[in-house]
Amino acid sequence: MFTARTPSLKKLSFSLLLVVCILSVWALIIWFGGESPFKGFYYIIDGSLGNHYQILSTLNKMVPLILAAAAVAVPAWTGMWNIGGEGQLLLGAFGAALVGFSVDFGVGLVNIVVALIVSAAFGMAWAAWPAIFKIKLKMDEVVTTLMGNYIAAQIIAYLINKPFRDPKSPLAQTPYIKSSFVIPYLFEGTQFSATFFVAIVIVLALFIFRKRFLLGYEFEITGSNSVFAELSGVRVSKTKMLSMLIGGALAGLAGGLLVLGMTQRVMQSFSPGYGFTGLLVCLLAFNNPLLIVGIAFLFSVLHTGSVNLQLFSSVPAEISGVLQAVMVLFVAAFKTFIVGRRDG
Amino acid sequence: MSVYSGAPLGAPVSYRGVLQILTCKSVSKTYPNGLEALKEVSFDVRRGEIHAIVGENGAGKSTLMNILFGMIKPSSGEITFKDKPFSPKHPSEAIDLGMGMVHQHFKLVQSITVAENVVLGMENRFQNKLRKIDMAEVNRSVASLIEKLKMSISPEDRIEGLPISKRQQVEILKVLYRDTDFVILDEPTAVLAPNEVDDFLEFVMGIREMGKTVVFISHRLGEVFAIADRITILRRGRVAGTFEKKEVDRESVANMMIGSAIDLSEHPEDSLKSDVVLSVEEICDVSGTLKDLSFELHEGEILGFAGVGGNGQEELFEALAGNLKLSSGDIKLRGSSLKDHDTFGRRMAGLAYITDDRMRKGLAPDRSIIDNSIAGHHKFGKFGKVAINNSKARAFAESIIADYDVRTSKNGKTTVSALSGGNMQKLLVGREIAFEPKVLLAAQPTTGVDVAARKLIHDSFRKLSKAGSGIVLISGDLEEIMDLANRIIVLYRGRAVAEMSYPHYDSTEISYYMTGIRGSQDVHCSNAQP
Repeated sequence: MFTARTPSLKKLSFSLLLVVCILSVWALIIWFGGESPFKGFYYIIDGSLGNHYQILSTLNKMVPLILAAAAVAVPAWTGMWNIGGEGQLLLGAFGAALVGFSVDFGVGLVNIVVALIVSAAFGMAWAAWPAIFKIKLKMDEVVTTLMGNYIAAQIIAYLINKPFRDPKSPLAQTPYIKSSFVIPYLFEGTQFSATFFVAIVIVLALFIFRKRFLLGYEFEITGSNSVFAELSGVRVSKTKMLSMLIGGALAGLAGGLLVLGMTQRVMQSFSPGYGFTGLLVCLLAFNNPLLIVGIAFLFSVLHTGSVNLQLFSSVPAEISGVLQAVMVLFVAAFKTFIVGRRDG
Repeated sequence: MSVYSGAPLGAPVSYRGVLQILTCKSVSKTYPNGLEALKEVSFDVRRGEIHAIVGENGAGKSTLMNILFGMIKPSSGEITFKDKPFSPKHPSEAIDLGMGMVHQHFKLVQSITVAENVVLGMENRFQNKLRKIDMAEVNRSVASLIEKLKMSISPEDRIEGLPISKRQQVEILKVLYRDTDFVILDEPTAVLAPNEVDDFLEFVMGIREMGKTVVFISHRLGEVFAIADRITILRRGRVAGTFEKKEVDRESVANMMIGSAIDLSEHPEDSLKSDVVLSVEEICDVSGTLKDLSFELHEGEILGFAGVGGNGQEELFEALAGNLKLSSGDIKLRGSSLKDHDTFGRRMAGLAYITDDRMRKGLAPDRSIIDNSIAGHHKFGKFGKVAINNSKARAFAESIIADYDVRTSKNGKTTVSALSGGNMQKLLVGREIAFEPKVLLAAQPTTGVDVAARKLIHDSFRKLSKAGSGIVLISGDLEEIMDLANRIIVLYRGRAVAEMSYPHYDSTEISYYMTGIRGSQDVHCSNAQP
């Protein structure tokens, strides 16, 4: 909350060097892919920010990334690792879809809110058991949340293949949600919807929660030194549990928003790994909610832009994953340089 | 280079320390945040001597040592080591030149054995052709050094199971194993019990007899005068002087360290109030260390627990704090049982805790002073119920900084890890006393703290007790207990073997009880209060 900010020249030049390093390796990779780096960067920028359709589509891509990253960040504040965003997101998506195709409360807004609450609850439930195992049995949450992803994927596969399969469809997928559950697109020709604002509001809320609220303070001192926190009257187990539940809820909500705002159903390969990308975003943002927005934007730009890159050059769109990975590697390396040197 | 430079003119030359091994000339260090830690520091260390460096917390001792050991770079100045210019960029360079350092906060890997810790970093010497490390050979070579140094540890012990004094021995082993001839000991006795200190000092002299040079950093002038050949005094980043031991006495060194005469003549009050605040009734803990321990703490009383480390002091603290469950007995605060209260519940009821390990338990070192000050207090609604009132939090932290003279380079936003050990401790003490507790539990409250900070902490304890609070003072520093406590209970193997009240203190007698020579059978000895 009150960390001193000393803008030392060394830190600044390190950050600058970091950006230069990442950009030059990106350039190299694009060049190896058979395109001039400058043109490559142009295609990426043009394809993601060139006109308002592309900007809106880039912003829309940020929604699941922001929430999946926040799902990692909140538990990380208390020193918990939530690697299970992917599974929580899938279950959340299924929860929203389940409500969406099976019930109807008559009023659109009520429908949407209920579906989102259910999606958050599903995600929360999937984060709850690793948290309980960790606190009661000291089982490492990295392992349980990670493994939970695969279990969740199989459960979803079963649900959409057998009990909740759309009878009219040849594919394994749920029926469409009712139209009163759909969060409408705001502009013609893009999938951009109010979900973006939901994500931004949540991030701001988390930011204020961490900086200004007693509970946020307790989260932070728990993550910093749990023995100290316990002595200071923080119920460490409860705090850690709560942070995991919030994380799970955020990931579940990401799934719910995807269903209501875009796909309108859950199908096989619903998530192209949002949970894991969210983890990377969170790592790059050092668990900071505002930075998460920035990094998610960058990832989004790379993602939408690389599709354009593929259209105009011989570089495949999958390059965006490689570029993201380069960023992660460099940030991790520089972090150990700056932070790790301190205690020699 | 003059052979005699650094020593005052006409000083008698010690028979062993003649040639310099290390010379510092006008070494200065200014941190990026503007803190001038060292100003034009010049002194020399001679071959084969024990050179003590004394100074208050924040006087620059740690900075100086970190410069010598290559952990930070000086802003200006020259250092010569073994007749060559010396500017190590990394501790490994210092180590390669035969320098070794035992840190105040141990740097050992908890989960591996003594021998593994000792050879860590050079284990490839023990690799066979298949690059497998020959553990038997590692253990053998470490065991031979242990034997040579007459230590009582086994190379196969795991660090996590060792008491602090043994861990320190491992640190020293690690240093000497690397053929070190220049050993820096950073406040080595801070973690030791009184009876361990003598052995340790003897051990240090043994290192000197092996022909090694020792730089000994300590706050305890008694120890310094027991073993040092020469003494360098640092005050606020400057050298106040380097002296042969014979030229100075304790009082003058203390004066030079602090700059003003300190009053060593404070005494506890000899009358007790009759109201009991805390009564401990025949407690046994689940670990089986404490055995039927009973005592009463009165209003305004400081009750000292003396004892050699590992005789139940830690368990007593944890049992009172609620971290260690009782198997029998009861603890009552003003008549109501604390048995079902956890640590925080006890705090709400009126307990406060000064833990023995400030880095691990008492503070969150990577958070700011403000964050650390409001911890615990935030539960009482002082800074708002839901949202934090930042200006109140800041004002609260600043009041602790001012009242307890916490020296920080900037303000409350400084991270605690940037403070020196003594200032961290003052912050911790200030925060706990600010709870205005009915009972303050204080474990080793002045470990690694200089004379001035120690006096400040002691004064604040006296003030608190005058205001009516009871203090349970658990300390390995007998002098501290005798200075402060109205009554002393000696712990031996988890039992109270003696109890005496001021002014009937006799350190020799207490030490008999501490070491088990006397006691065990009659719990209330001749000096017990009526």
